[in-house]
Amino acid sequence: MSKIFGEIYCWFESLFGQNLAEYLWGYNCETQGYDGKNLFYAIGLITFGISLVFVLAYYYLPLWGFNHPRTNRWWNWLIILIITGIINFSIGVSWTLNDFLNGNIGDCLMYTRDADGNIISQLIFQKDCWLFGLTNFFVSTIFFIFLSGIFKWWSRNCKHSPLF
Amino acid sequence: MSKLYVFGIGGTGARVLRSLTMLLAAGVDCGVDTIVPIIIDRDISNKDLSRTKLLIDDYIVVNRCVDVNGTNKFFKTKISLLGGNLFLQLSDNTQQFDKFIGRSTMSQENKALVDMLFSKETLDLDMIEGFQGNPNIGSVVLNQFDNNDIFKAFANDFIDGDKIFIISSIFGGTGASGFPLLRKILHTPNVQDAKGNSLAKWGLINKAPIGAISVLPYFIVESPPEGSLVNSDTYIDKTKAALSYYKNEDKKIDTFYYIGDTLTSTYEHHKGGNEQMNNAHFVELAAALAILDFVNHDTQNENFHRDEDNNIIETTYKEFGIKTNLPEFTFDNLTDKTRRLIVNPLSRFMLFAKYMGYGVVEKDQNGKKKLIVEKINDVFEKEHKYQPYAHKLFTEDFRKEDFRKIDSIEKLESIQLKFVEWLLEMESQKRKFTPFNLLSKSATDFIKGKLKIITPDNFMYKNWAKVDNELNKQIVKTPKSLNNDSRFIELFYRVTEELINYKN
Repeated sequence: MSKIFGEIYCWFESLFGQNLAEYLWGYNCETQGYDGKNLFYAIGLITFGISLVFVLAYYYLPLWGFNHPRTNRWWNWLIILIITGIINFSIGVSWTLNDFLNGNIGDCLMYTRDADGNIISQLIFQKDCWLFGLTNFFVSTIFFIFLSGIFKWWSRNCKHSPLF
Repeated sequence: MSKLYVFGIGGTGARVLRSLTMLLAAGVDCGVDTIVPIIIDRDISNKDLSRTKLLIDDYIVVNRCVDVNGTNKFFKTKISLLGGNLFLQLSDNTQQFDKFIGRSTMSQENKALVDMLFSKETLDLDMIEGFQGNPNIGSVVLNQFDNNDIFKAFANDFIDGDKIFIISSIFGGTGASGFPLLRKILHTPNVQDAKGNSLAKWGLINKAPIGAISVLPYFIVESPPEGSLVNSDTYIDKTKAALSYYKNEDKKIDTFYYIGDTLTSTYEHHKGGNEQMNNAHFVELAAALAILDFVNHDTQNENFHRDEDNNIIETTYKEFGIKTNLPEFTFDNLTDKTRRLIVNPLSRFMLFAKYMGYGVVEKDQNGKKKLIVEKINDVFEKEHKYQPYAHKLFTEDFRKEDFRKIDSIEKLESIQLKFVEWLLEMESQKRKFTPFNLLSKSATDFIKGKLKIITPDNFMYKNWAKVDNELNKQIVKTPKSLNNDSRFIELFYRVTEELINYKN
């Protein structure tokens, strides 16, 4: 399962960079192996969970804005998708940014150093964390569409939202 | 398959049949499977009659498509026409009364007698517009009920267990004269057709359960212009005279209903014909309820008193009343029995009509504000694209006229429009029956009065969203085997039944 999540995120690897991806795969600079925590799995699971909650709410929760005859238009579904995406975007950003700022990312992934240990170049930047947030937005969207396709059919009021 | 043959005599007969059709469309319980309306009127061109005919024609189309074995009660009772004809064809259509009686060929003595019995205006009367309030003419002309083919189809169609009901007004011409003559011929043994053959099953007709309603004055007409014989000043006298004659009907009718109203509306003066189109009145609705009471399974013990030989031993007389004598009244003012019968059906059908867009708007016409029935808030049109209940079933083309299929939904909507018009007309009378706020665009506050009829809005679903939510819920419970039109009506009945459920 952890591999599947990681592979989904890696579809967008060009956005947030290979080094951040290595960190998220759980690469350990000290052991030079992937024995760290697989953060793709942790973040992916949360993203999946949040998407699932919002999909279930949209199709089944008897509350205005969710399973309701006036919010079964495609754009209502899209709004919920965007809200879910924004929440997952912020989780992606905050998680990686927190690790970035607190120095949790291994040095070998952060910098290229010369023989004296001087930094030649930085490999992961703050913007990569923001771009990972954007990636999480996209992944959230994939999950939301996938889960909508599964759960919509038993909804009373929204079963044909957004399509079919 | 029990049938009730309803003879509607004259303009009042046609108007009561109009109300009856509206009640049946709304799904009021009827104790028989089929109603066979038969209109007897010389004035075939009168508008009351033609619009009743159009309504019944539409009803028949919708009734054919509904699932009679389902939950649905809208249009459930079948209306069938004798030989496809609503009117009883009178064979002699001579238009001028003196020609009808053959005055010109009479001997001098007979001519003198006729001149003594009938005024010159009466003899010159053009009967194309009916008897214009003259029962003395009607009783002569309608005597052609005898020795004729006009009852042939009726006799052929009649089976054991069928019932007969006669609607007539007592204060006009056709109804007042037609009722006793019709009753007499129905009880005449061995009626023969024009060729002299006895009509089959006429014996069954002689002994059939028979009810009648006599409508006493409930409206008056404006002062008559010169040349008109219709004069409402004579209504009361005519009523008294006819009532004293109707004493003879005792023990010849199983149940005899009377209805009238002292708070009379004034109608424009028309002799008849195309211009005679009176607004619907609650009295006509109540008269239609008498027909339903006559065949109601629960009232059979009080309505029929017969001996072992099936002879009537006692006539039951019934009158209709409302709880409070008010010029304007709602469901609140009806008795419990009437409420049980009509509150749910009328409210449910009204909600259905409103969903399809039919309501009343106030418009300026020639500087005058006028209430008009039209499509004002077509919820179906707005919502069918989004709601699951309509998905791939009730789509864009669903309502459109299509020569390739029977347009039952088009006819249904035509009846819904007429239903709202009918309600609006009842509001225009001096005795106003105003159960609904016809100007309301809401799904939940359109029923007037204090009765708890409609389930209130909840925090989740309000107004039309509540109806759509129920439609989306109920669609899965409707049989998929039904065709679209039938399923649509079944669906709306289930939904309105869920939302409107008055119990007393």
